[in-house]
Amino acid sequence: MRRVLALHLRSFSIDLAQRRRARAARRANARPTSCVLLTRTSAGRALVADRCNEAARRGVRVGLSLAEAQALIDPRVRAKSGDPWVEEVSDERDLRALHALGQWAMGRFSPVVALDPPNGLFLDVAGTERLFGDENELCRAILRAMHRFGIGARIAVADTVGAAWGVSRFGRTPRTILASGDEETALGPLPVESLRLAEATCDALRELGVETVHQLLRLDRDRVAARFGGDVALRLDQAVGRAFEPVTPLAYETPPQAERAFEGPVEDAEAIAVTAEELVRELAKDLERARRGVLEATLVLEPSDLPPRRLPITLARPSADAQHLWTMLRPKVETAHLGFGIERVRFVAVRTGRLRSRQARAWQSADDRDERTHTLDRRVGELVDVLVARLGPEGVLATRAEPSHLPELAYSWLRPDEPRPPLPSGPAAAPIAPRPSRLFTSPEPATFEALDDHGAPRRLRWRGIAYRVRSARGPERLARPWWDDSPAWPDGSPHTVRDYYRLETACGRSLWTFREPKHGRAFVHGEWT
Amino acid sequence: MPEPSTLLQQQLPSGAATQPEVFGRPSRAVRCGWETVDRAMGSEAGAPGLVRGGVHEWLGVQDSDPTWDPTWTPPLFLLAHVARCAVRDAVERGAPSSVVWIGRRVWPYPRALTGGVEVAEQNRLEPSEPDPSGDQPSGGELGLGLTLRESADAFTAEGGDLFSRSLFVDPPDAGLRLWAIDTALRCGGVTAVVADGSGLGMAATRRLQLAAASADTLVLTARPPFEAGEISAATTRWTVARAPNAGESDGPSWSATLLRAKGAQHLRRERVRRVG
Repeated sequence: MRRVLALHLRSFSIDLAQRRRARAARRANARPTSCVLLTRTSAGRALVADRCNEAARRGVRVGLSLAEAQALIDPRVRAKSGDPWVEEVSDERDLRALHALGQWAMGRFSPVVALDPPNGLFLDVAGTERLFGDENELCRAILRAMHRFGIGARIAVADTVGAAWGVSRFGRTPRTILASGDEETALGPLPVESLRLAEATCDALRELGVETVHQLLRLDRDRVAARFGGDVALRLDQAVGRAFEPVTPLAYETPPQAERAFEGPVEDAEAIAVTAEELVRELAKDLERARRGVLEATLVLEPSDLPPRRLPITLARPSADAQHLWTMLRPKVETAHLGFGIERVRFVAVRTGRLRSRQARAWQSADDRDERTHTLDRRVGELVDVLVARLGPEGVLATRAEPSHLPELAYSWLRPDEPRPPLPSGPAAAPIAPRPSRLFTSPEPATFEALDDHGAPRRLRWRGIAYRVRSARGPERLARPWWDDSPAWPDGSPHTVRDYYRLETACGRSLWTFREPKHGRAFVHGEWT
Repeated sequence: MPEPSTLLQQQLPSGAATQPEVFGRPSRAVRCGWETVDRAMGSEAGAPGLVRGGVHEWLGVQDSDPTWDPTWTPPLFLLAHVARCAVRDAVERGAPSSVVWIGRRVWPYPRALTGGVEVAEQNRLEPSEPDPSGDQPSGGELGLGLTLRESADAFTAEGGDLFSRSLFVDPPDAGLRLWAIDTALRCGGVTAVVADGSGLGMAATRRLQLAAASADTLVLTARPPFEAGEISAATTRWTVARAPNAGESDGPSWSATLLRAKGAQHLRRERVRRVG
């Protein structure tokens, strides 16, 4: 017996666009924009092909021109959270995403997964529901996962592909489980579209007054076939289980790996290390031939008496350089506990990425070169990998300039392998005024005494010590932007304006201080050390 | 390629103070733009500036209040300046030009790296007899000291370089810090390593000195002032103090004094000649 679970992704392309939007916003450290619009260019005009619920609520319909749609979105909303996220529909990109989702489901819910483009998956769940409790629990697990991904989904489980498909699209509840033999009663009240018929056939049936599957089932089979072709009868039979319907499952992609089995348990650490190195070289060669590079790999040592021991490595950028991979792996292999001996060694490339083509590098244009100065040099990339392997991803950072004049937000930390856009020109390119070489994590309270005409102090008390101010430069007035609702400065101060002064104390210290003019509170924020 | 001015000076017998670059050999030192340092340090190495394949220790400033957590401050402004000079030098040579900052204590405020970290020499501290109180910075035992202050044309300096070439590493303890410096030196794509050098013993500095020499990389370490008595294998040691400048100039200023330099007997000779 087979049990087919049909997963219907209601608004797949929009959900994917939302995910891309959120990712872009995260990367830019900004808040996501308000609406998402997908467009399709027809006769030189961009027309709305799909839109998010927010845009639909504002009256954006499919088929409007992009300009009309953008005009419908309230200018006040746009001022606050930016222009809508607009991108071109790409069926191929969506199909790739569906394929990736299928591969993911195959590793988690069922070994037999078939794609149902453009927005569905079939899973054969006969037997696998026991791993989750029952079919209901399985469906809830899938829906939970989809919710986490931010992808809207509906599920139906039935004995046949046709019934599961129809109920998942047109059923009343987002999660329906049909018992065996219930297909006919469940499909009965649904519209004829639930049978996966051609659009023209559905229209023709509707013209005859046949609206539901129930009505269609009551008609004479042979005459329906004669009038509308064999397709209708076949789909009906497939839906209620009188005809078998094959699906083509996805092939499972095993990660590339290399393996050696010993004749008996080997306790000699050196022999293990030599074997592991050989495996690394072997796999690196294979990967290089396929122009792939390792991003994550695991060396699995299988002792005779213990569960397998995994030694993972993670790289900042794809590499098929055996020497580099081995440099990262060697310290782990050398300190691995071998127990009573290792029987089998396996090197698995868990995650791979495309290697940059060498040819492109040899014949680079001037543009490429400009772009490359802001990506990592290969040797520095390898240094990053080695450091990250030991210190963790938080231990190695690079910076990026941000277009903000607030001292704490004028830069952001990022992982060194992330591409850095070249420094933008304008306010982000260089600070307008000098900045100290050390900025305290949060401003430290101080007291200004004997203010002069410009509001700068002649005496300063900070960390319990009184300083005489020899000279002061300022004020440089910085205000947090009023147009977004960020409630406060990064350190939590609610006041909008700060007047920064650069003070030279009589003892030679050079401090970056500020005063909140509204409140009169003073702080020391940094120092030229 | 020697500059025309260098060629000219070479022909003039009076320009003995400036050392000409050796022909056909790339310069093995980083000019740091401070004439006193460039001239004095380069004379043995054959090129003006701080020797590239070497460890240069900078003893930081002791904070007056020892109860606060960072009881010493590394001279970040000077280190950033020297790192920028190293990047400029590497770019001119066409060599890899990344700078690695190791140890959270020596991470500068990143936006200070985008511009405005130029430091210019203000004046030379004349060598004098050692001051028993030790208050006044003087030329030091080797007779090489100078006061530095933020350059007036700091903001015209092209600054994006150092910022985008910097990599910040945060090792949790001194052992890993040493390992990270060593790894960065072996990588080959790094032109300068700026590191927190506190708590590194003689063996560690020796190891770093050897690694720096073989990698031909400039290593700048910041050490706390109370480690001035520790022995170390560094090529040069400098001590940095805040210099309260009484004059009309403003902007932060420091005094840097050379405590020790390998192969710098000529400095001592010169000092003897000057002080008498």
